[in-house]
Amino acid sequence: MQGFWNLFRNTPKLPLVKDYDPEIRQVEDPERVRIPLDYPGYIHYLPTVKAGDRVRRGQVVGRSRLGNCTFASISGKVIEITPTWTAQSVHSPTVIIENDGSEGLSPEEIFDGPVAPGNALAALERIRSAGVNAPWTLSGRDYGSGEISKLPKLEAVIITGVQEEPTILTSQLLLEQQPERVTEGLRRVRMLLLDVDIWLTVPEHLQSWAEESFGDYARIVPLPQYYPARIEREVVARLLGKRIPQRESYISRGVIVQDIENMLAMVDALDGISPFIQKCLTISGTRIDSAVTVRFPLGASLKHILASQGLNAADYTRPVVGGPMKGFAQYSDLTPITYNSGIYLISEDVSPFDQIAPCIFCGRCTRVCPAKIQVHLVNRMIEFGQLESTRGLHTDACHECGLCAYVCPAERPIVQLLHFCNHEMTHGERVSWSEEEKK
Amino acid sequence: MYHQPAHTDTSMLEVAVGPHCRIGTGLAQVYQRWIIALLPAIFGSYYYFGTSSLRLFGLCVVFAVAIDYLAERLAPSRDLTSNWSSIMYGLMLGFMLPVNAPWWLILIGCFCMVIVGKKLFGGVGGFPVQPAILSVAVLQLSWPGRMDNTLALKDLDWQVTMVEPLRLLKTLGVSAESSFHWLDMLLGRQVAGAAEGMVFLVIIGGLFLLVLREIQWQPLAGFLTGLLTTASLLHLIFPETFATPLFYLLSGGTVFMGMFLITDHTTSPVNRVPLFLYGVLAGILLIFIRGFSKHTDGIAYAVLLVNICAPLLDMLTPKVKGGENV
Repeated sequence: MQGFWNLFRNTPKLPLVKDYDPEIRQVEDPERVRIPLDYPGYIHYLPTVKAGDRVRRGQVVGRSRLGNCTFASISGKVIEITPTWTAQSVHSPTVIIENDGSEGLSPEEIFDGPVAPGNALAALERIRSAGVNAPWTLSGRDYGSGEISKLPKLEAVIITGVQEEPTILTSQLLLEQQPERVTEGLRRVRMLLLDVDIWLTVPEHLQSWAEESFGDYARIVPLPQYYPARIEREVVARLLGKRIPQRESYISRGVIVQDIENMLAMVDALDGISPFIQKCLTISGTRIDSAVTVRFPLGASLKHILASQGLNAADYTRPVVGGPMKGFAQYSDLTPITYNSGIYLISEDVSPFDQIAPCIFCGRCTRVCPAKIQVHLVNRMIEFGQLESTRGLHTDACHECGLCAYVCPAERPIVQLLHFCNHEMTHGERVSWSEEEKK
Repeated sequence: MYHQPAHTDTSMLEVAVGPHCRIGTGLAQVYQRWIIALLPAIFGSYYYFGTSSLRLFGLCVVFAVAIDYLAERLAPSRDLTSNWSSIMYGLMLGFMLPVNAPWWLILIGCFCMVIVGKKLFGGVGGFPVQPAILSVAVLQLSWPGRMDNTLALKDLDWQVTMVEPLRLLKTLGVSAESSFHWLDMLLGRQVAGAAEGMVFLVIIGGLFLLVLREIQWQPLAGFLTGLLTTASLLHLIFPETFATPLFYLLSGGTVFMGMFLITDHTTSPVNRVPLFLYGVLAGILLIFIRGFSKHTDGIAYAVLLVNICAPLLDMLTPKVKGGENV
């Protein structure tokens, strides 16, 4: 019956949160946490503990070659270090810690006091050793043999006060609730990086307030509430006048894109208050009336975070880590959550396909594409294994924003097709995507 | 190095690829919307022609679905019968056939449409020209006597006074125009196929598709531009043989062509500027074919020709943003 009415209804809007709880709720420590040591393409931590060790909250459990650290987020005993499926859709070696309820390390035991203001090298050292950055903002792709190689001079820092996905509210809530700390963070960034442009993206309705509060330290960029205008790489392209392809990290083009939460964590680290062991995350979904934002210890399982708010993944069609447009569906609710900012719970049965429906050439994907790629041609070429034909169609301008698949009436996995194409065209032998050709 | 972790949780959750919200609900919905858009004109056809119109559309749908199903069983492909496309194209074929078309003509038409027009090119989404139009063109060439709309109406027990604008224009010249009232033509009291002449009802259906964004406004706007401009110019140059632009717009299947045939997503270009140019070209071709050939209506050949031009027009693409980084 619903399908019948849908015939007469216009296209639904992109998902938004209807209502949200402004309070950030604290999640209790779980029975066990899993701290992933590997974020492929970005960073690889070497374990500094072994199975059987007792660790305390705030103790380093993994350290990278450049000195980036990852921490035990609860106190307890290391059970084992074993591969686990992570929210980054890979298996990664993971330190599993079982909670014994003992006290964590005090700030004095972790850090030796605040960093002297203006000492950029000491600040860099502290930021690394406090694990402040999300792995995908680190320059892991860009260094070989332990040295950061040929990074260009920094041009701009973009602090995102709104997340890319409209269903994730962490940055916005922190911006609204802790303006003094945000000001302090912007001041620190300005002190450390004297000759860069600093931008702060804010929700549209907060523009005048933000101009007043943060106008001295950063240029304010108001962003509307809907998704296409918030696509991060599009915003970066608009601000800087140059587009950074998906396969390259921001840092390799001299840009830092950091959200509010990581900036506040940087302030804490520089002041010697705490390392980054707790993360905020917004839980939303199509059947959740009011989105809730929680603060949880890194490495807590999806199940634990949902249960703390009285939710159960089994009641929904699937839990997605991240937002609805770019997130990843999880096959198990024991997946540890680390640097992700959102959980989106799906109630409807969307995008199921056994066999990919044929493309009817309606061209909606091409007309909606923010990069103006000829998606309707490219996705068919890849489907039929003609990868070489896509040369010259500039498929690697794709930001994988997901709008093409969102509008596709045939529900084709267009984002995945383009991703595959870019992967094959940049590295990899020619592998045929279609099952028929393998036989 | 990596091996699957042991599952302490027995219930594995379903997964799917992103994005996790979508507008699309499958191809069937697209074609169901097109069918809904065709319905007003079919009701109009039933009002004027009675049960013989129902017989025509019924046979079209039955034959099209049967042939599509047989083809799917014999040569399985991803173009499933359950995507409703054969029903939609079957109805479109019915729009352009005369009301008294014999069953074998409909059967041959459906065969041409489903097998030659659709399946041979790889099913839905693969064909270069609109299958229903291809089939009508084949039938018009092969059985011109049977495809004669005027003769078809003579067999019927007429309930309304029909005007036959296009034929009289051919035989009597522009003086014939004065014998028609534009309201008659708008309401469908004219000689055309079974439903293509129901101008007002076709417009209602087309607006339904436009509102739901199933079709684009660019080809329609381009079509009107091209058609009215060409018709006005020719009317000024040859006032003896060419009627006024409004006459061309309302007579025969012109509006049906603008609303349903050239906006067909598979055979039209994709980018916005080519879509507009495509409409302009369709309008110009229609007037030229009507004015200078022996065909009275000529939408079939105008659509066929412009469909073939679509890939060429689609080479006018916007520049890829960030393409210089590659």
